[in-house]
Amino acid sequence: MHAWHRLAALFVLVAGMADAGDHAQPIAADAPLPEWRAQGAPREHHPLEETPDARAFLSALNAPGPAPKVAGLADIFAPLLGSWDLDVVFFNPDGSVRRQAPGEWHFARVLEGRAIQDVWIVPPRAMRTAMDPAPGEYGTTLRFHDPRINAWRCVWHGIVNGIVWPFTCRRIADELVLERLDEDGTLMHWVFFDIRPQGFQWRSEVSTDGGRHWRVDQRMHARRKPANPFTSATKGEIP
Amino acid sequence: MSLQLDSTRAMLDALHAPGPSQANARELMLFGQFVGSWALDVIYYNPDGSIKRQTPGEWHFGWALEGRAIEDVWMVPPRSQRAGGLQPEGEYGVTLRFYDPSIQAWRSTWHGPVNGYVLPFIAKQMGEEIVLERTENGETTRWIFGRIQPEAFHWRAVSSRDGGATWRLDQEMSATRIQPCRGS
Repeated sequence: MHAWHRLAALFVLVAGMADAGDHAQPIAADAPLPEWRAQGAPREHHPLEETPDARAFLSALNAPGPAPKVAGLADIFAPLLGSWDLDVVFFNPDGSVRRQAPGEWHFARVLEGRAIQDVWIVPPRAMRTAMDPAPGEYGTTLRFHDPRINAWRCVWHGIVNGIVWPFTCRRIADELVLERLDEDGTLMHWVFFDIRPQGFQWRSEVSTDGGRHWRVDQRMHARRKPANPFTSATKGEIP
Repeated sequence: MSLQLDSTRAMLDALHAPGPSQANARELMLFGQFVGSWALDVIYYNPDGSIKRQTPGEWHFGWALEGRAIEDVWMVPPRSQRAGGLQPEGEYGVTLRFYDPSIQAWRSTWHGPVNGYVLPFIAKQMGEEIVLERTENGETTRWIFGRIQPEAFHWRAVSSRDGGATWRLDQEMSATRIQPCRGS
């Protein structure tokens, strides 16, 4: 598939875009899963502390600060830690606005502080329904510093749209630039810029001529979320 | 260990899901059956088949991202042997797995920050086993979950440089389920 179509597929905010139900096939129809495997919890939100399995996983994932080898100059994604409200704009090839949507983005240190994981949600949870498949995206990026290449490896997982994209990430002047070369030769940049304590901007740009010309196909404005009064009220640690 | 609240909690709260998504719920249980915590006995082999290293480890699986994905944290040695701020060799990484209906298989990507690895696999059930496969530079690697029971499973890594005619055992693990602490 052409890179533009894949990119478009990633961001199209139409319910039913990834119509999983039409394509779902049992992996082994002749081997029904035992009852204990087939039970699933309901989808209502459960506080983390009420689910012991989740707590074990999340406490193994969670890290309080940067690893010694990541701290300092290498810690380029540190300004993004925390939670952000998003205005997301998608552009047509002719530069006109195709779609605008709100979103949310949450960053935290994980894995002994060698990595930062984020969750990117468009539209935000407050606007999501129990609809399956979900519209938009609810994905994650894993980022870790790799001293062998003196850069970060960032992998975007777009779960709703079936995408796994590894990038190489560096700070270039005041910008954080994620770069990947698609299989068809399209060069992609995802760029964090205008990074301030209470906000940043982000753009996605593509080049089909080896980086001579770039076309912006998506932008985001991020504003730091105000402190959540519920979270503040329960400030402390889960034992 | 404890969960830091405040800003870190917001990401974990957005990541975490209580169970599988309704769509593809049956397919999702292929890896959903591993949700929970496991104690590991890990063995690495030399090319000649002799044991290179043996170490304990931990593996924790959780539902993530509206229940469409499973994320796990894998570490050797376990946290009890990583104290003191030293960063021992070994690994402390994550696999992100999600079912992709368009290929009727799972996209399963290993991130190993200690050793600088990002390894995307495609995974599916083959007979009684779950096979993750990837090919790079003429070498095919398979990571295989086998002998799967509710409280235990076996895992092995094999590789082939002749298109699958012969396989070499690189690593294996025995996993035993750990019951989480209920209540507090």
